[in-house]
Amino acid sequence: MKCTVVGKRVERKDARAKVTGETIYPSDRSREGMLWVVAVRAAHPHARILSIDTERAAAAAGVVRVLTARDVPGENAFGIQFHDMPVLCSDRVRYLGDVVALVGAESRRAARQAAALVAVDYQPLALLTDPEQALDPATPALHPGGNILHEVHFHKGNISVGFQKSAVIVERSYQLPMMDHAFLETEAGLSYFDENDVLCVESCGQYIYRDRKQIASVLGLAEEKIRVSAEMVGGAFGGKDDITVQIQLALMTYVTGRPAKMVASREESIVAHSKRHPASMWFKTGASKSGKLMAVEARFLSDTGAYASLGGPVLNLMAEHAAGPYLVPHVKVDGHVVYTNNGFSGAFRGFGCTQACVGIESQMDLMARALRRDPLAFRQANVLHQGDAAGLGYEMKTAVGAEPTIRAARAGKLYRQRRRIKKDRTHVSPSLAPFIRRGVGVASQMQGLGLGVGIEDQAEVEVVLGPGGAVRVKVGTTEIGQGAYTAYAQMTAERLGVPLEQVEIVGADTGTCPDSGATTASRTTYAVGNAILLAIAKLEQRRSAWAAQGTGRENLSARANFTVPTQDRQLGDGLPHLLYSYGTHVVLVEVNTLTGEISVEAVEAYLDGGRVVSPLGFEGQSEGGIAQGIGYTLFEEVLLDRGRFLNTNFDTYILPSSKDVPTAIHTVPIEVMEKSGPLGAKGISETCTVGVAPAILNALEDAIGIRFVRLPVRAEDVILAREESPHES
Amino acid sequence: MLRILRLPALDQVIEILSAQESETLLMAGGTDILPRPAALASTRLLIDLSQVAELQGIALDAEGRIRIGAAVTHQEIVDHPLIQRKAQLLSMACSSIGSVQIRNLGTIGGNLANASPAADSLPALVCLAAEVALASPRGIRFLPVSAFILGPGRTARAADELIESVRIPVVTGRRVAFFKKAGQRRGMCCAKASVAMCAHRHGDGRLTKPRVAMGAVAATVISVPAAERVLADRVLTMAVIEEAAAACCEAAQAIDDIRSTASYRRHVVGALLTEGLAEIYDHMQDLARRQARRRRRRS
Amino acid sequence: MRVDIELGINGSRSRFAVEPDERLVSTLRDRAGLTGTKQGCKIGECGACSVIMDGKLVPSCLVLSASADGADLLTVEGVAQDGNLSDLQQAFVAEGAIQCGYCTPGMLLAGEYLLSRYQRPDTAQIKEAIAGNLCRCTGYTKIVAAIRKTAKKRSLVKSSAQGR
Repeated sequence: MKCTVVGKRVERKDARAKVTGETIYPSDRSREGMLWVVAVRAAHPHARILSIDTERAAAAAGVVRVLTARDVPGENAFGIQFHDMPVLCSDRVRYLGDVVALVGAESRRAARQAAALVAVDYQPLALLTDPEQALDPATPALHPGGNILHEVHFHKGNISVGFQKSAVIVERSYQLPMMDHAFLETEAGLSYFDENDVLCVESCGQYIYRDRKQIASVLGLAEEKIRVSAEMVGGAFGGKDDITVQIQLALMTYVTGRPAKMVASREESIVAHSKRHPASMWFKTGASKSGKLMAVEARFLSDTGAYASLGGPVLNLMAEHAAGPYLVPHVKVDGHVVYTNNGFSGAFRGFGCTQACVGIESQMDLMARALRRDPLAFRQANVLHQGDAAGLGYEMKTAVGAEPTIRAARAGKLYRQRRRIKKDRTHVSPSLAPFIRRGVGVASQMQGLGLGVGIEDQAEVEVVLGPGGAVRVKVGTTEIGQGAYTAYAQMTAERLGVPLEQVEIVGADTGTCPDSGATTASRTTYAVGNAILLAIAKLEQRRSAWAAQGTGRENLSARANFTVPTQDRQLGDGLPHLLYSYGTHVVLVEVNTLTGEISVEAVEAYLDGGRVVSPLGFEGQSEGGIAQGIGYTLFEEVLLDRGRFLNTNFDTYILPSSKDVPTAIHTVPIEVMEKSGPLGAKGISETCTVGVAPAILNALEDAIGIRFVRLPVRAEDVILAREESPHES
Repeated sequence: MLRILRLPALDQVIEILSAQESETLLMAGGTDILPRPAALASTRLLIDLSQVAELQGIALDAEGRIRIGAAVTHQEIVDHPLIQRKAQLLSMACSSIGSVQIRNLGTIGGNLANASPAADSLPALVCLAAEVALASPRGIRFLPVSAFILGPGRTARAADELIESVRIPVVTGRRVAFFKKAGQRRGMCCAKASVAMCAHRHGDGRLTKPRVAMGAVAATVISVPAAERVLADRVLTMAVIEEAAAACCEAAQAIDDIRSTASYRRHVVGALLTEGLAEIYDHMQDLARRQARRRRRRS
Repeated sequence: MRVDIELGINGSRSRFAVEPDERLVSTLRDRAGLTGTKQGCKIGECGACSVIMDGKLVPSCLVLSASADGADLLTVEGVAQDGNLSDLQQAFVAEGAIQCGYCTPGMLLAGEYLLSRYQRPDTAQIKEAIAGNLCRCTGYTKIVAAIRKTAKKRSLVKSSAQGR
């Protein structure tokens, strides 16, 4: 199918307002008479609360109200999967982000000063910070159900047979860090009662309808009495999927009747919101002499911290993706995700695939090396095709683009010319050339799209045809930077045959937009896009019916609901998926063996997310995903010492800067059309980052002969590893 | 209650300082003070020095030294032709401080007063034999940078004194210099360790009067006489470089902290010196080759 | 005790009564209502609050408003003239240098500041110029491209003007 708007390098719909500073983000909102709200958070990572004294704080100048658990009218708990997170803690705190009181004051300064006056008497409890210890039934439980949140045990074939048939067996353990989303805009929002007595929360969440439901249950209000919006948000990456400020704001407004505003400081943000799950992984994999993958065995221990959030589904996706995009006859995966007092972890771009991919793609390289095979050829020879049985045994029923991405990567410049490129030292002073090593590494990956079996995954939208050809599309998903609104507009314009400028996306407000589901899981282009096309089909049916009757109508609207299809058989919450996106990354790294400094010099990304709707957005996602992958691999780690955060701002939590990300990024779309996708599209917002870390690790081994199994890899690690392996040339 | 005084003249500042009001804080760029949340909590009087006329400007003083006013920003130093010509090492060091935004606010006086072991300007100032001019009701006294810095956040400045300027002796002749820094990333970072070096370069490949100083590997910036001895009056070779690098590693008294480890810091100062000197070595080889070509052409 | 200050913001002067320890970013956002200037870290590390003050790019979170008394400021709201985007803004839009957009105001001003100092910056200079502006979405590639293209365009305009 030939497209005229879809696939074109169009401007983002929101770009003009963003370059002029006109866009209003949650932290920019304000309202006459609003209170500033500051949360009083736990002083200990694990403690019993003996008493909370708010008297002095409440009496402080400018303070209007100090709220504690007693002020929660409904259920004092929330959470995406389980309602296990207290809104306001009354008896126990489990991490430093737990909130014990909320101060509402006339100014931010007054609120902050009063927050320091809330006196909480704590009795510190034994800390649980070692996930291994959490597995021990003798360890005191952080939650009624014990310290194991969820476990998985899967097998396909017979793992011992698999290893018997293997000529090469590789076994390694991997350690992965806690990572912060570091969205540039911290959690923020504004709440107020509108003229109809509806409680409005203008905020930063990734799923407005779920936020509304949770607010309603905490306040004991009907959902219709609450309106939640989150149109433009300054980055999220999964970190705003859990409720952050929404309930706190709503509660303050509900109790005081006054508008309320909250903006987290960066320090508070890093302590309070979810993280990427830190995990330890063990992999044992085997391949036959002829280079056929025979067995993948993996064990995971994931640390969800103080609360469940999405710890269970994240572990499920780790298991689902443990064998990578490969055909493996014998698979065994076991995993646990446990509670500790180490902050809390939840959704983060990649959602378990990121972790699993580090393991399996490192193993793939180690096996290729042991077999003396070309690493991409080895992957290509074992890759999954449509109709094959996936790692956990179910059939890959939809389009599988893994092989084409590998094929394209093999033909790409970086890979083809890697011998020459690795030798290049022209940029280095001659005497330093011997100290510079370059390596090229690859990784392939797949990433489940949508929420998976067993989790409601629908998108409803409304398309309105207005006078003069204007088209409004009402969607419930949030524009968190990913560019989805532009993609929606392109698909709408394409299908209706109208200029892109005539399409307006009205977004993310429960007051005006239908429930399009969560802005997560690489799902929105696919799910919302399909819903838009369904709505347009309805409109056109009606239009032609009217045309047949000889009557015309200017204003016409249609709603449509699309349900993301799933596999038939459920293996767990959100497990498995029917649709996947695919990718192969090729990375050039340079190591300065004098200083240990690692730099990523060039990246090629071959990504299959079906048809590319918005090329600029596609490339932008890829480039940003690569930068995040570089951060995960080389720089970022939230450091905790006995449950206390050590690096809570950007002077010590190190993000890659412009000088740490290569300009030489080449993103190549591999458009394997997905029949069920809107115009053949799926999505790539996660797969574009998942493979980056293992590709860098593989490039590092290629450069200096050292296999790193712990992220992030810093200059210190390079120097230490070289000192410990004196035989390395 | 915090009060802010933004004073235009040095004698006004000195007058207030000599009144010995408690909890007075001096601030120029604020880039070290303002990021600390509690910085202003206990301050009653904040004196903003950024507009003090006598603390501005880069020029030669009466003794022919380069005078850099204490409130001169890092970026002004980086951009100034006199510094680029006569104290290039300082320009190199200041260009690696923070980001351009930070360099536009932060000042040389502030970098000295803050006395961070990791401050980028300090190793360069030590190599350049810079002196700190301290103004007080008693007039101006001069202290070498190494005597001025006493420890992390501690200096020899008396309560009634103010850093007026930095003075750098001008040295003639062909010079080589470098500033190298290991950070947590390439862009905008605090030094895990840094090395500054300058020396006279001679046509026969010798370096004389070498000065080597290191940052972030001790409680203060330290000079490395052992490395200087290795380099002095010797023709630069990779073997000499290795020896000098070992002396740097030996001299480091580094610690573990959130940015790096003691052992890495010890290692990397040698690596940084090696990098810088190897580039100089290559540069000198290059010059020698060109000179030889010219000579051949002439004959 | 408030301090009375005067600021020139995007060409017009206004007076504010500020707290002694108030940061310029708060004065701009909360008192002047100019929320285009963003706040990401409040310690000068992320660059989202960058503004041009008296011709110099500064992080407005590390400037006391009292110390900025009398200064002339350019914020993102002042970059476009009479509703027309500047060439750099146009380049950001055309190159796709924007995603969530929260770093964009600071990035634009860092770009403008660079171009006020260098006519034809190379890639290394561009990267250095925005090294104090963190972006979590774009990976910087398209931002660098937008600045490079604008520099090229401006110097072509300039050289053709000189040629005449």
